[in-house]
Amino acid sequence: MSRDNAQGNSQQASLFANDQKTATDNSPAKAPKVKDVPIELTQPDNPAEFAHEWMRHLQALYFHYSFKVVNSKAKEGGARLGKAHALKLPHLSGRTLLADRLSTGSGEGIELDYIKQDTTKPVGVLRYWLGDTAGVKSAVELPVRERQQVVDLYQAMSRGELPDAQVPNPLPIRVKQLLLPRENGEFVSVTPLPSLQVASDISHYCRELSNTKFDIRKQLKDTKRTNEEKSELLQKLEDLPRFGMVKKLPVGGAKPNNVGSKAFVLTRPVVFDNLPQSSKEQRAAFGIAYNGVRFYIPKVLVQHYEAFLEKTRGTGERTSIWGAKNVEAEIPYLKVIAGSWINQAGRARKLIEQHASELPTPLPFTDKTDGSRFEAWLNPALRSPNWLKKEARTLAKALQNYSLGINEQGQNLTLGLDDTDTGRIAHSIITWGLL
Amino acid sequence: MTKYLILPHLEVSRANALAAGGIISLVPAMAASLMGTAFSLRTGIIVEGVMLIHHSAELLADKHLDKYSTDQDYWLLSMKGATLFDGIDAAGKPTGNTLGSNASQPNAHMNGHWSIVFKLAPNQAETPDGIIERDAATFLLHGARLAGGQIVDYGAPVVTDEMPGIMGQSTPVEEGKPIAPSVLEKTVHGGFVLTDDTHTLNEPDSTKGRTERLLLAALGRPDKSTHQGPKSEFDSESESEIKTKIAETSRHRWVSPAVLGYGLVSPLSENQGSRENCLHALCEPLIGLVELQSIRQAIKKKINFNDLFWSPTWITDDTFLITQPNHCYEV
Repeated sequence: MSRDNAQGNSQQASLFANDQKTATDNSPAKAPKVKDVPIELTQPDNPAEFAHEWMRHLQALYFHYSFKVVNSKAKEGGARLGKAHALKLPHLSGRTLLADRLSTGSGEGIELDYIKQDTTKPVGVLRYWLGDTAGVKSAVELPVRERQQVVDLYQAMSRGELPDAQVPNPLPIRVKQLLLPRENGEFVSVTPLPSLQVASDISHYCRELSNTKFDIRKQLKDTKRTNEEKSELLQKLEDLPRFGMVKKLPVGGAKPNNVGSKAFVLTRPVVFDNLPQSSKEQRAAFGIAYNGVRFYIPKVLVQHYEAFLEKTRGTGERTSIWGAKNVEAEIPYLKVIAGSWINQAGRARKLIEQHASELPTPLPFTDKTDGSRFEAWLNPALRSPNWLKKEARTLAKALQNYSLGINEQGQNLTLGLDDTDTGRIAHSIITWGLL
Repeated sequence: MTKYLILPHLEVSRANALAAGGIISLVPAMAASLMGTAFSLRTGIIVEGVMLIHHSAELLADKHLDKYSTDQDYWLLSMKGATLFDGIDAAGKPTGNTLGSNASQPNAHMNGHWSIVFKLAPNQAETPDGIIERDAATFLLHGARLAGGQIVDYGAPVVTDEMPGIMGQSTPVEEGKPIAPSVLEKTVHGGFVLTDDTHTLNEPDSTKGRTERLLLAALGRPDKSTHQGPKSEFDSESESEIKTKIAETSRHRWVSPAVLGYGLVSPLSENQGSRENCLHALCEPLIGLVELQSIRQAIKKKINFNDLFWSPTWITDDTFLITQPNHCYEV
């Protein structure tokens, strides 16, 4: 910091002399807090000359927009806004923020940032002159008049009274360019640079929001609070907007202050990814809406049913002998299989209800030949005895055609059910009300 | 007659999501609009407006819940040396066989799935059937990019002269029969169209700042007080009407900030390093708000789809905006 300029009669002073412990204070000595660390002040040999140096430095290297925050390896360059740049549009940008601030007449401008660091004129000193002592350990003391000149120049620049642009020629290859069309068929090349004021405002707002949430959560831990108070606090927490921020965006490599004193505000951008995403569920809902429900029988259920069928057959037999006892014993297996179709229809109904706003109405499958069949699956009120007969037959056929694999001759391995069996299964489903 | 070229289902890999400092947005409205300009340049077919249809977009990042604030923390998948790479970009010194660590510049990427519709200028020279589709396919096949991301897959381009909601185009619908889906619906099978919502930020008397207004609009949660509505209002209505009303009031609005323009911040000047030897200037992005509306909802609301095309304009000598016909801005 100012240690480089501190020549000759340096004078140290403490800004927090009154806060320091007096000899009469008997309490044990504590380490001073960070904010109470006294700032070391030094005075330059020639304050007027030094103030002029600072003003030249500000004009040459302080800008509203900088190349460096986009690519730290680019040659330094940037632009400073002028009052003519103030833009009255609803959009968010440095230019529209400048218009807002000029219209209020508060004298507030847009934050400036250096495009190249100068260790002899560190930004911490400027911050100290502007009234911010946080994080400053030492500073150069200027007489009030000279100091005010520097501060006035900074503020005038921030309000857009000294517009300027420093663009190297030829343009560095690390600076990106976009081509924008003009009305006459020509193009202009532009280099987009982020506004640090916009990023700073966003960062400030999100930090405040985070702090508010943190405070509420702290209050919730207080055991003295009643349940009513806690539910109020929870509601308050629930109503605050939720947002996501990038944990660390590499601006200027590992150290943002290498490329700008304000560059750190760009390191935690807010993420707006709360947009529709094509999910598996959504795709399934659309599939059902267009094609109806595609029922399947889970393999594990078929395997259990196959084991039961094996029991009913004699050794080496392919067909079973069906008496009343076997028919009764078969019902629990059929109930589980029919139950899986009922569950699939239930899931389909739920999906259709969840995505109703995105799906076309009426559902396109209703136009198909078997549309009424699926409608009855989704709406139990539409199920008729005829529908039940048809569905029981379909389920029995599905069991008959179920493939358990392929044998050595390349033939499908099935459960070995014939048409008599499917008739029996369908009859059981209807009489025992399994669907 | 106005024709529309539908480029359906563009799968884009690693597109730029960091179009403005401090904001990561997954809506490449500006990039889509400029793609229309690029199409015009390559094919000679003039594009009057571009409609972007959102299907899906995913930020390339890991995310987890912050234990203190219940907000999400994102860890971006970093890409070192994003565009240019040489000795200067190396942050560390080369040691042994290694070239040294590479400097990483700020970047954020997304994988996206969008459809784009170009509104072609009317009365263009008559072309044989299918030539526009073929040109479009060639244009896409030759390594086209959207928002810097490679287009890795796309559907067959379709040319149509029909757009939903345009007066005089809709065929008469018989009572009780469903409306036949338009060519757009048949081609893209649903999606979300963008509507300019930036004008809602224009509240000069508001106590909230411009940034806060934008963030609240984009992050804000739906107002619960409007969800239930007064019960007496529903008394005389049928169940289906009540359901429709509840669905309408509790509908979540998809709102996102997006770059909708550029404001020049330095005078246009000749520069040796400028692209295509054009005049060069520095600029800053103008961030606006867009609302994403389901195509089917838009058709139900009888929105004229001609109003959803973005077209580029210079509203002043130094302000470039993409606007929709029913949202014009004056300085």
